[in-house]
Amino acid sequence: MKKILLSIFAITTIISLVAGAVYAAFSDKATSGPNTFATGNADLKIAIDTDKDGQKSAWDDSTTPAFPERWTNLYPGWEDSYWIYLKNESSSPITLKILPTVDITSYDIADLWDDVFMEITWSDGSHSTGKYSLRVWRENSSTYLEPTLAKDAEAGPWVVNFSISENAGNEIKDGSIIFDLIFDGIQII
Amino acid sequence: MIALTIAGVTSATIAYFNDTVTVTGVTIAMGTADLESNHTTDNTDSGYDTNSTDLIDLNLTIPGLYPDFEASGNIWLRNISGSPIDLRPYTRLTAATSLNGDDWSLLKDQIEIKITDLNDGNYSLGWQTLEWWNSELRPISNTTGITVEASSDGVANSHNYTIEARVKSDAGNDIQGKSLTGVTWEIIGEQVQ
Repeated sequence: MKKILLSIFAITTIISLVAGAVYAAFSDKATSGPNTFATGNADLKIAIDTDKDGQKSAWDDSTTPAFPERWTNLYPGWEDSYWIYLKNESSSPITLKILPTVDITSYDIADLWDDVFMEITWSDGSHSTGKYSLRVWRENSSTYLEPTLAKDAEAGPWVVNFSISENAGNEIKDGSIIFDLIFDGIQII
Repeated sequence: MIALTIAGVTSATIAYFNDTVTVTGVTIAMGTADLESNHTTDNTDSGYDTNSTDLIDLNLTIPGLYPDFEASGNIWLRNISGSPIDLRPYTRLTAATSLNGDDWSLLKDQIEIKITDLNDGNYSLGWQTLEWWNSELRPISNTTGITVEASSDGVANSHNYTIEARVKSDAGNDIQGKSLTGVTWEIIGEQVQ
């Protein structure tokens, strides 16, 4: 008899809970809206100073070094550099980390992929990315520039130094290679 | 466990804002090293051979070798490299008709050659045997080499060399009737670092 009473009690309780879920009482609601979610953007700008004299170009999405004659008739052991500046003009309040990469657009001697080197440093020579061949910059770039750029922050100059291996020889004579240097600004969370 | 795995996959596919800027059309164009030579009978700084594969005929004929015999000739070298590099010339005796024959074996240590750079303080490695000149490349100018078109008139700098040959005074009868013809010298200009 006691067992039967207990069973009935349990069933009654469950029913009561279900009933509670559909219980209606006085209510009212207030609405906040319409809510608008407008996304901003990431916007990185670059300026270049070919002559390294502090006279940099206007901020832009792309730029071209202005030295038509300077980088021709090059030879093993040659090196030269230019300065670049970067600015975070994002509309969103985001900080960007910068990953440099290389996109080789044309070449006539494949050895140049491995005999032309690039290194990026601060103007005092510190904070080097390391000196790597264009092939490495193209295929395995993983070194971010320092510092990162908060919204509206600009930094520079970074010294972009190019050199040709002293171990290279006649296999690269009369050759040329053309490439784009790409700076990818990536949002930091 | 399942929840953790899903979280990991989700993290890997998160996309953040990013933007790129580009330095376009960076061009690196190589030049050349170009050493030219000439041998003219009037020993002038002209008449250079623009084909680097041509052999220089010194017209240095040594008939009837005998101990103490000496002869000499001249060549000019100039640096007209496309790249702004100085070149240090090296030379090596690379061929002769009987380079591997009996006559070579008898003469290689009895004939000596001396090359002097008249435009570089008479730089010279002194009298050396044919065997010595054959064994490896030897520099014939100082370490500064021949500069490239340094003069304001755009004329490439050139160096004048004398090439002297002699038979050792103590050579004996073994060299009688022996000869070397088609003695060829390879000259290489190496970039001065």
